[in-house]
Amino acid sequence: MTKNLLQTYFKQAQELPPAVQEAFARAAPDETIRVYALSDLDGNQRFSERWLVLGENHLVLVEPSGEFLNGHTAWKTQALALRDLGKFELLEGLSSSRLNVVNASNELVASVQYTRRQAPAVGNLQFVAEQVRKRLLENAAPPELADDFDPATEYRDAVLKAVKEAKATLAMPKIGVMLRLLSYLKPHKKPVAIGLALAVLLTALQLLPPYLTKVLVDDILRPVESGRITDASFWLWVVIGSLAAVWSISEFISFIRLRIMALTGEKISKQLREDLYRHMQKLSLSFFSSRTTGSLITRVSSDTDRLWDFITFGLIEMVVSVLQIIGVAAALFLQDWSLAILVLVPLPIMTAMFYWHGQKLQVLYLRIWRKWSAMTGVLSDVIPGIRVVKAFAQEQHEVKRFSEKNNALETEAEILHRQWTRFWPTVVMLMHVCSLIVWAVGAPRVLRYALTNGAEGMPLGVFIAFTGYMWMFWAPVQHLGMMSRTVNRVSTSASRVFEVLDTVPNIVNKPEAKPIEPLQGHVQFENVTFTYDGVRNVLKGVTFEVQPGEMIGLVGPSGGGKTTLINLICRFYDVKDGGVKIDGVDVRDQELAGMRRQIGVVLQEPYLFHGTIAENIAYGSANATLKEIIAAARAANAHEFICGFPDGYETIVGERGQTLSGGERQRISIARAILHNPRILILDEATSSVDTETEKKIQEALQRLVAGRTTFAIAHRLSTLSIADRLFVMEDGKLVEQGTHEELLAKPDGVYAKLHRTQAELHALIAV
Amino acid sequence: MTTVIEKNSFAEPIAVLPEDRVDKSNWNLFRRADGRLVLRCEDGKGETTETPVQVACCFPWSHPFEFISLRDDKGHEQKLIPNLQQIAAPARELIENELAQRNFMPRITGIEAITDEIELFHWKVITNVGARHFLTRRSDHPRKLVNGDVLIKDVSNDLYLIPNPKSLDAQSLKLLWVYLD
Repeated sequence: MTKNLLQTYFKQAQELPPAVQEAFARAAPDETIRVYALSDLDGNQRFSERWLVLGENHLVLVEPSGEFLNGHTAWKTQALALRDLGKFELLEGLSSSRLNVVNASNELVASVQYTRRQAPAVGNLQFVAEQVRKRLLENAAPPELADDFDPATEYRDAVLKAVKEAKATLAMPKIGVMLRLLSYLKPHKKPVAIGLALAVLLTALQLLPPYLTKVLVDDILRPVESGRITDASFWLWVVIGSLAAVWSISEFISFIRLRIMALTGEKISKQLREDLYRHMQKLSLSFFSSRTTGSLITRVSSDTDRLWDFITFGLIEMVVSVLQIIGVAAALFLQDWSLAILVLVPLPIMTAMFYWHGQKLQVLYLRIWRKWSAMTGVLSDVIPGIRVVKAFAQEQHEVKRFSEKNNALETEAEILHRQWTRFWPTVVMLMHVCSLIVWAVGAPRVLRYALTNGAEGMPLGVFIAFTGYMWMFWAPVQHLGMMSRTVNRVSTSASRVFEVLDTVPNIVNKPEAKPIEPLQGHVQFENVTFTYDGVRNVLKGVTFEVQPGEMIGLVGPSGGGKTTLINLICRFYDVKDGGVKIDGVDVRDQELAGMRRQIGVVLQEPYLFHGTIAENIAYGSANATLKEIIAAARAANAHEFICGFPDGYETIVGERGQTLSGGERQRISIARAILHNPRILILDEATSSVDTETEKKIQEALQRLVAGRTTFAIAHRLSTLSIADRLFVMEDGKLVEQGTHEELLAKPDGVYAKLHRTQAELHALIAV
Repeated sequence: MTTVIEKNSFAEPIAVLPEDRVDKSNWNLFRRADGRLVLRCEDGKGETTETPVQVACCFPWSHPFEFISLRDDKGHEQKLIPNLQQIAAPARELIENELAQRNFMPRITGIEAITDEIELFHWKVITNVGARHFLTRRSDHPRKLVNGDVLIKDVSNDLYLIPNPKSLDAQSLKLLWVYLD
């Protein structure tokens, strides 16, 4: 599937072209290709095709020689022995990057430029090349490749990663999406069938009134007028009665049909919403990190709503429109075939007009939407920053900025309004022209009929019925004209919904996984290697053992791997190599929910849900009593300030609720963790400083919380670091130092000692 | 923990352009054998330092040749050049060369098609450096620059410039119209 995407979207080779492989084989005989990447710019910064191919001992540059062999591009190669290379230098530009290859004597031997699109693949190549070079220089065996490692897949995945982040399901044909959406109707076969049958019935019924008018005129009124029939009042009432019956039955049917379809549509969209949310909860963190909250909310709310709209109205309307056109056309032909042809001639023109109008509107709506979001953008930008606006007295400037966007919106709306206000009268005029033509052709025939006493020409009733049918023609034509737009919108919404449903969670329970309850809290990392992108290792062979109840402080520069380490303990991700064991059992063999229930987390930015403080403290501990909640709050030094609120523990917090300070939120989340009573505690300490008094309270709370639990704390505060049993210093994905605060400080060249000195200097500056 | 800072740095207004950094008399640039641009500085006491530098534009869109920052690999500024035209030719050419590489960006000269791919738009364009296909996010609006040029960012963060969009041919302009103001 992914194979064709590079071709379709980027016009880029899906894999190393055979000719380039041959060129590589000539330049580096008997070497297996490990990784390769495309450099899509040549020396003159024009788009071209040059390949960087890495073998076991050589990096080979393959580029077109500018000559042709039998009509094919001839390739020339430059093979660089990895042993002789000094370093790779990556220089990033605005929209392109450059990789300089420098040899051991510091001379530039090759330089390639490529766009950002190729950067992930080139980055991978550079990384692997450096690893291989290092191994070669150490005379060690080259790094083992995983069994399923395939250079072509690596290359494609690297280039397509950006596309996949924007849109996870890349190849979903519109037809396929629509069919899949229709499959959601399956459980509702009965109501849908009834809805359709009613729609067919309704269409048939709607064809009756013009026919009855014809009967009324030709078989009752006219004969009475000419004196052929004397008493027709019985038949008159029969016809009027039938008209009344037809209208009331069809209104009743359309009422039933709408109700059935609206309810069915709602059932389906409810099901979709629930499936979506349930599935989203199952998905791993990596899914959420690559998407904005807004786009996920839209999928659950407005996309499913649009599908409801389609199922309720759109779907049946499409079927009905087709039926109506056929029905009305048949009725027209039955009345008078020559006039019918006259009416049908403008049909394609009309359909084309509606289609064209729909397309035009689509573009206009897109433009308006852009202007609209620019205007609301000003609002969401300025309102939260209103203090700054006022402090700098920029109210006038902001009004001007807003009115610029507002004016642009008006201008755009004007174009849109001009378009549709011009369109509709044109269409109605065209309809009138059609009816005029029908009149011009038909009316003389009616006259002739009267003059020849029915020998030739057309009866009046037939003509009236004919014009009636003619006007019934336009509504379905309009619907069909607009159909392409509807299908477009619906398939977009549907594919966004299916995209989420199709995403497979990458952390799953093994079928035989068993929970261990209660956990002792023994944590062990065995040579753990981990990568987020499949190439760059964020953790490199980390090994340690932590006894139950021990408190570990994690320190080190940002990007060192602290957060990753914690993510692995919680099993938010799975390791690439090695293993994480809790109580001697690999986390992958444990039942996920049961294990996570025994891990507590206090995050840097504590998250409070909308609800009362009590509910927030009891989050994850559904059966907690009020007494336990208060006890937890007390232990977290939160009881005092909570009681200070007029609503006490029933104060609403979270979005639109009572505003809490950072220190207060932190203590509530500590209370939550205390109540939750986990065996293993993860503590991600806030970097932002709070006042000394609050800090003291938080520290007290933390000390109560950590007592007796295995704790991993990403610590910034000296006070936290000093109570830890051991400190782990993480740098560049490795556990570089461990020991107590004092032990580590005693190493003058140690990473920790250095970090500590920097922080002390910083503190000195702030403390002025 | 509390150490008093000897000099309160907020007492004096901060100079927008530290004068010592724009002085050009005691430095020059050269291209090293490994391809890097190197800044050689003399500190007045006869000591010379050589630092490999990267160039960065402070205002790449509106003033590409003013306020050029020369930075070492750790991102520390070594020199700020207020205006490229004010420095001597050899160094200027080196910087211009470096800038041309760094600021490389295809310029769109014609648009063949823009198709809707649900969350994405698929562009087929002709640029001054060859034909190109790329994808943009639906939510990413092209950015209009002060001089009226339009800047487009694709999903891989590659940039494409449409210089003076009004001068495109009628067909391209029609396709681009959705994005123009």
